Amino acid sequence: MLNQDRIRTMTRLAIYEEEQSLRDEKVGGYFGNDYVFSQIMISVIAGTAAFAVVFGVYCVYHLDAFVLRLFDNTILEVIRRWAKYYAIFIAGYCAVTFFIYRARFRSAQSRIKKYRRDLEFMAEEYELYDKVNAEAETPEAEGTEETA
Amino acid sequence: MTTLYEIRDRIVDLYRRFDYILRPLAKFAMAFVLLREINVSLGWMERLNNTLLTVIIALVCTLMPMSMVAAVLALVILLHLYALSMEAAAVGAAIFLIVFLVFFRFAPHNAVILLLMPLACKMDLHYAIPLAAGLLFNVGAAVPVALGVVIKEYLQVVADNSARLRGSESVEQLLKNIRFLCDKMVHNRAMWVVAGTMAATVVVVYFIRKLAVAHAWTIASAAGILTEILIFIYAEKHFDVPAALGDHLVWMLVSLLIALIITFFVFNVDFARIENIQFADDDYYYYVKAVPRVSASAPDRNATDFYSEAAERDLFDYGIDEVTEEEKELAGTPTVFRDSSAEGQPAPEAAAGEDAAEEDAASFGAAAGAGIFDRIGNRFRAMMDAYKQKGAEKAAEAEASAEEAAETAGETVTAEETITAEADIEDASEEAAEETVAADAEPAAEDDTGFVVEDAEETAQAIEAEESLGKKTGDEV
Repeated sequence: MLNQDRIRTMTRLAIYEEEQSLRDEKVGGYFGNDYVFSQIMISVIAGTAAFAVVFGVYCVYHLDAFVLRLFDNTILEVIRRWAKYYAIFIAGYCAVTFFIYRARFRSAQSRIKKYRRDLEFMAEEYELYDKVNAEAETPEAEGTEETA
Repeated sequence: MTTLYEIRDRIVDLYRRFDYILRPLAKFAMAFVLLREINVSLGWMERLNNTLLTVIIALVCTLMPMSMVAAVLALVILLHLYALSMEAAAVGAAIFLIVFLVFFRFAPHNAVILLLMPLACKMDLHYAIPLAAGLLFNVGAAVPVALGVVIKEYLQVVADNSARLRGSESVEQLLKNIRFLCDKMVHNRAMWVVAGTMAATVVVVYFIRKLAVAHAWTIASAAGILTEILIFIYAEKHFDVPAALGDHLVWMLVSLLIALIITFFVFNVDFARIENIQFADDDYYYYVKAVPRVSASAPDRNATDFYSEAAERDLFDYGIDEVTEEEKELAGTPTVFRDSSAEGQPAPEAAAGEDAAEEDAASFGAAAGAGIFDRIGNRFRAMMDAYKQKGAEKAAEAEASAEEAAETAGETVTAEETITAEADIEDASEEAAEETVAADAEPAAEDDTGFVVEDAEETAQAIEAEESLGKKTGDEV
């Protein structure tokens, strides 16, 4: 007789191992704050690069005015203004990163917990199966010895 | 409607069976069509227009994740732009870099939306993409939808002004072209309105379809289309953006139809049979709304008698050799529905008369709403009770036969000792009696499920073990 609970659990475990486990293992190796902090750091780098691209396009677009400002010594105004934009952009981007990756960490933790619970269930099932088999086999063996 | 459900179930079944072929095939088809479309609409680098090369790139894309496919297609676009003019390629590279650095960091799996958006725009089905994204993805899908509009618009601007952009020789001309492209993008109100509308549609559709109301998906699709129409009307009034709703209304309705087809395949439930359940445990009260899925009844489902050959074979698996009238009564009404296709042959009762089967099928349809699974579960529990009763009887029989064998063995051994008359009669008879009891009682006490019992205590243990197994199996059902 097939044990449907066991089949369901094993299928669930196999699907999880196939699709999510590698990603969750990486996440599970961190403490929550460390994981979120590392992702924020990556976001700062990526955001800075993206902002640099936008700033580069702006510089090329306003190249004439930019060169004039360079000679007028008013370039600092522009840099200050763009530094303000950069700070606002990075703060917003980091906030989005914080919320997204904190949610991802929590969902990964809950998936890992569920995975472990399923593993424990499987272990208990196999223990029960072995116990019943052992109980069924022991009297037979004793009987054979006595007859011999 | 039943025919539609059957067709849907067959399609879903077909997809499940051959998904390992269909998924790469779909990916290849999508990559090929997109590459072909890029080559036709841009096509400035003639080497890339080769069909064989397109097939090879599409094949390579088949093996890659979606975000990488997006990167490959972006590279192909940039090569075409570079062949036209460096400034077009530079601005294009800036757009793609921002898209990949800022957006793909969070949701690389939504790349498929970004890829499909320009294609859908080409086919005038771009209104369907935000509906599909809101129904099938999360709220973050709003970003790739909007970015898809921006990328499509940029390629359109470059294609429309290719003559102007081609072959700029001086730095001044190059800067002028970059400014031209930036102006065309930044001051393109129509593009921003469309991108904003698409993003807003995704958000509206997503939040409405998550509501716990009946027909949420259908309402969400309709609300999505309504959002698009209202924003376009508002934009026409306040931002001087030509909405041209008359031209687009037909395509919006086609998009709504596509959204309904998606709903039919992905979220098809029967709101007429909603069940509201309340229960509680130590920590919470639960107010549960259960909405049954709609699925076509299996065409090869037959009505069979509960005590058909197959059913008796099942009973035999549980250690019951034969079913008494009393047990039949205990098990309840004798009709249950069994999928005979699983056993490879129709049940004899079903083959006996079509009228009976039709009647049974009708009663099955009526019973489906009243919880057929409860009834089957009750019957199974009754069957298990009968099984337990039978097990107890077997154990009692085993005990009785063990006692009987002990008595018989004592008599036999005594007779043998009388003939030989050499040993101590009392000691020998006691020893022989013990051995014979052990030897004879074992087969008598072995029950049908393979548990071997020696005495009453072990019999009880074995029965307990069997019962726990039986209970478990009953719970599973």
